[in-house]
This record gives sequence, C-alpha cells and structure tokens, in this order.
Amino acid sequence: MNTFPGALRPLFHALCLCVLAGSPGFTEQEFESMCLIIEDAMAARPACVKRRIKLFLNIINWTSFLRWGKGFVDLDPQHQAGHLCWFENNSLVLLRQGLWGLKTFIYMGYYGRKEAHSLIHYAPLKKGNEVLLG
Amino acid sequence: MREQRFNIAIIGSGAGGGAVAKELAPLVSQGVSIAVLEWGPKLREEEFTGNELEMAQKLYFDSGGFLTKDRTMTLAFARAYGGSTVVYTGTSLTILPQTVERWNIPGLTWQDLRRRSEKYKEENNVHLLEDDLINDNNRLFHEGCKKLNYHVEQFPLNIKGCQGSGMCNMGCPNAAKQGTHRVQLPAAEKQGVQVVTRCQVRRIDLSNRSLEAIVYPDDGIGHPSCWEPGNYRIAADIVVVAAGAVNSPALLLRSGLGERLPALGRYFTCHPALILVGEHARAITNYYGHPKSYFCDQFMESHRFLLETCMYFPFTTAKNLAGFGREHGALMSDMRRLQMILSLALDSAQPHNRVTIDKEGHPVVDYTIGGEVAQSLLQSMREAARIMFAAGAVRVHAPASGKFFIEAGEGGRVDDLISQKYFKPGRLSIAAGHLMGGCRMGAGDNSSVTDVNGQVYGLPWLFVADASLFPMCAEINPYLTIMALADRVAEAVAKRYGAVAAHA
Repeated sequence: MNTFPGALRPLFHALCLCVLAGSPGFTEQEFESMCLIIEDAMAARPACVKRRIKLFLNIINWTSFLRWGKGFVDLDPQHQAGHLCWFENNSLVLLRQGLWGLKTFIYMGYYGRKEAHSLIHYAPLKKGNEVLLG
Repeated sequence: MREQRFNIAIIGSGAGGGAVAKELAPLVSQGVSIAVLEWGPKLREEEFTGNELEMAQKLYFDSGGFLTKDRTMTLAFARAYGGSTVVYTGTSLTILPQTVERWNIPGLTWQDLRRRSEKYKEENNVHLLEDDLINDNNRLFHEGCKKLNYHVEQFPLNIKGCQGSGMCNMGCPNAAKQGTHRVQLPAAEKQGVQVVTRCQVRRIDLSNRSLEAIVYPDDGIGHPSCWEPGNYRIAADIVVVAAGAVNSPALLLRSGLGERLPALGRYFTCHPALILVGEHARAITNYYGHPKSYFCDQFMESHRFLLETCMYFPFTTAKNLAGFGREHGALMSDMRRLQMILSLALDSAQPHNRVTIDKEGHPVVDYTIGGEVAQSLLQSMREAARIMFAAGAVRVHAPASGKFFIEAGEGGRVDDLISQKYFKPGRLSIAAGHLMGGCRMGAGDNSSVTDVNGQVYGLPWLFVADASLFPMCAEINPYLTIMALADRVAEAVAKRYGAVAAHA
C-alpha cells in the first residue's frame, strides 16, 4: 500500500486495531481489504491530504515516545487507547481534527466493506417497504 | 477552443437551475436558445446502487467530505444532473412567515413564496407518507416527542412510487424521488432546452458575456456529455448562475466580481448539524422505509434548533460517533437496534462566514462555529437524548458527553452529562447539507449581491437562482424555497430577455 509505506504500515495496523477494538471480525485479511479501500479514497484526494495523514501518523508515534518512552506500536492496548484519547480531547484543535480524520479513514475502510455489513446486521433492500408491510 | 452561443445559459441543474430551465423552456418555441450547463454526470438508472462509498464518490463533491477551511465541519453537496436534489431526502416544506419577516427583503412576501412553493409541491408530487410505511425509527421519535409534549410534525415528501430503500442520500435506486432530474429537467429538455453534462464553467467573461467552460471526457460514470470534451467559450445574452451556495459565489469571485460586490461570498449559512444515536433493547425497523418522516420545531425560537428523524449508513454513522474502541464497536454491532436523530442549528448570517477562492480558484468555505451555534447544538443533543429515552432507548451516544454511553437510568442528568466542556470542534463530527447564502439578495447596499429578483447588481444580464440568494438561513429544509425563488428569477429573466430581444 503506497499510502503507508515502510514503518508507517505496522503503525497504521496498530492504530486500526486500537480504533476498531471491539468491532467484529477484524482480521489480517480484512486489514488488507480495508487498506485497498483507503488507498482508493486517498488516490481521489489531493496529495496534501496524504502528506497530512502521514505526518499525523508520525506525530502519534513521536508523541508516544515523548509521553511513554516507546513508539505507539510497542505500547500495550490500554496505553494505546489512552494515547488516542489524549489526541481526541486535546486542547489543540489540530490534534483533535487529526484524530477525527484518521478515524474517518479507518471507518471508511472497515464499514465500506460488504463483509462488515453482515457482521453488524445491516441488510438494506431496494424494496425496504416489503419488510414494513410484512 | 470551441465556440457555442445561446440566448440564455443556466449554470447548474439542481433545485434552482432545474426550476429556471423548466420555467423558461416555453421560450424555446419562440426561437430562444437555452442551455443548462451541469458540471456533474447524468447517471444511468442501474448506477444507483445504494452502495455508500461508491455513490458518495459518484455523486458528491469530495465524496461527501468537503471540509471547511478550519476543518471542523463537513459540507455535503452533489454534482450531478439534478444537483443536490438527487441526494437529499425529499422533505418539502414551505418557508415560514416569520422567516420571511426576518429576511426583511423589500418586495419579497411570504404569500408570494407560498404560492410558488405550492406550485412545486404539486409538480413534485409532494405528500405525506402513508402511516403503514412509517418505520419504527420514525415512530419512536414521534412517540418520544409526544410523551414530552414537544411539537412534532410529519414531513411532506416529494416521492412517487417510493419502495422504502432508505438510500435517498445515495440517490434513489427506485427512481422515486422527484428531484429536478425526474421532473423539471426532463420537462425542459422535452421543450428544447439543451442540458450539457460534465460541463464546468470556470469563469464568466464580464466584458463580452461569455462563459469559459470545460467539458470533461467520459470517465465511465454516467452518460457521456452531449458535447465533445474540451475547452469552450459560450456566448450568452443572459446568464443564470445556479451552481449552489459554494460554487456560485466561487464562480463569481473567479470572474472578478469580488471587488465591486463586497458582500460576494459572505453571509454563508448552513444549518450545522450532528447526529445522536440511541440503542434499543430489540431490533427495530430503521433502515427499511423512508428515513425521514418527522421533525420537531419545539425549540426553533427558544434555542434555535430543529430535530429531525434520520437514518444513516454504516460508515456515515460510525464517523459521527465521538470516541472509538470497544464502546464504538458495541454500539455499531447491531444496526437494527439503532435510533437516530439529526439536530440542526439555525445559524445566523455573519459576514465573516464566507466562501472565498484559493489561488487556483477552488472554493474555500471559511466558517466559524460560533458560541450561539455551539449552544444550540448542545441543547439539541440534550433534547434529542430526552426524546430517545422517552421512546424507550436503553442508552444514547451523544457526541458532546463525557462518557460514550448515557444509560437510560441517567436520563434525568442529560443536562450535566452533555456539557459545554465536551463540545470541542474537531472532536465532534459536525456536518451540513443545507448550504445557503454567499450571493444574498438585498437592498443594494454593500451587504447584498443581487436584487429581490436575483439580478446581480450592476449587471442586468447576470442572475443568480439558487440557495446562495438566501439573505439568512431558511430555518427549514431549503429545497422548496430555492425553487420558489428560482421561479421568481425565471420571471425576471423572461422579462429581461424580452427587453434584450427588443433591443437586438
């Protein structure tokens, strides 16, 4: 996946695991298909968006070192979640936005797959009224 | 550079452009040439798949993720034959008298707008959904409001043959939604109006009344344009700009009108909105059936917000939740149990909330979520939570709460639990689909761009006919009001064209 090359890929994987903890059926295979969806979405965005996301991933990692003396990947799940909460509730709006943007891409990749729909009991029908009318 | 010439060129094919096209279409039989220039494609019927990501990419600017300049709000607006009428839920309300009074535009009366709105209600088959087609998600909202003695009303909808797909915001896959792509544009084309898709107008050359446009090649989405791809110069006697509240001001700014019209781009409003999600103990019907049957205007005057039923798709729902992890997964684990309410703040028109352009001419929406909007949205979350608990929800997720779930037993404490300190732009997912202002009508001083008939001040051949005309927010879904105003503009254009033809 070009968007998260090299060391960013395991970092992104760890972030997905953290954000999607508790979401059913998140396996390695699903991570790959998520990445394809995200890659497609990134391709349609300007280059600055990709740069911003990469920068933000690095900021997550650097601040993890600053706060905990370890990279994000090496934190235990509780500290990982705490670290992302620190971004989400940060007094700096840029950090809050960054996490919102990252979550958005992760959710796009996860919920954008038909496989996820059956897991969350989402089964829309073109003729949904037939269900209402029994 | 290819050349084209029309007597009347209409830019945009949504609620405004479509209405103008149909109203002016009878002139074609009198020898007047009219074109609608639409940036987006005309989708084939089978392309309305209802798939969330696929349709967002096909239909919406930035796949539905267009961000304001400070990136704290997402704007959703479409680019297609039919504009945003292809993707909205079809609610069709007449503007209220008190709103028109607040607008305070000399020559614009509620009676006139109501008359015109009634015309479009009939044209678009607007009616109330039958009782047995109202799903649980909607019923529970109604029940909750009634238990709390909150005023609740049913939305009239512009649908014909609705099959309850719930996919309205991704384009109706049953061809039921009576947007301009189903009603006004086909009627206009039948009378000889030419609709050119994939045609983006980049600039209006004010010196010679011509449009610089580009027709994009076929990219496999929708029908190809009826014109060959390439650059065009389109001469016109009269130009009607109906490209929406983001692109209309941007186009006029690119055309050099910013200096002579200080209000251009300014006073942008959008009904900033967010979603509350409640969970019930059992599965309910929510994504089957039309998603939007009721609204509550109990707090319209007191706290400046509206509440509406809504039902969104998995990705849209997920990204609107604050937090992440196990609790997020728990809430999303069974979509069948979810009830959703959309709250919309009725934002005031401020000059600093504006559309500008960057150095490439792309629109930039500079909008600050101010204290009043924040307070409206906060209170709206509290009331929405109360409505959900009154309807029997076992827990509710409110994005500005200190905890992911507010349990039913805590329903008496929503005022404390949903609090200002958790209302943090960038953390909350705030979005808007009712984009208004930027080319506001008014009295002709420095605070307006057009007169009461949509004519741009100082340019008798240039009109605006979309939601960018709104001097303030509509305080309801703006769709019918856009059409009513466009109807007025069409009359003015026809009169003006008569004057142009007489002097030719």
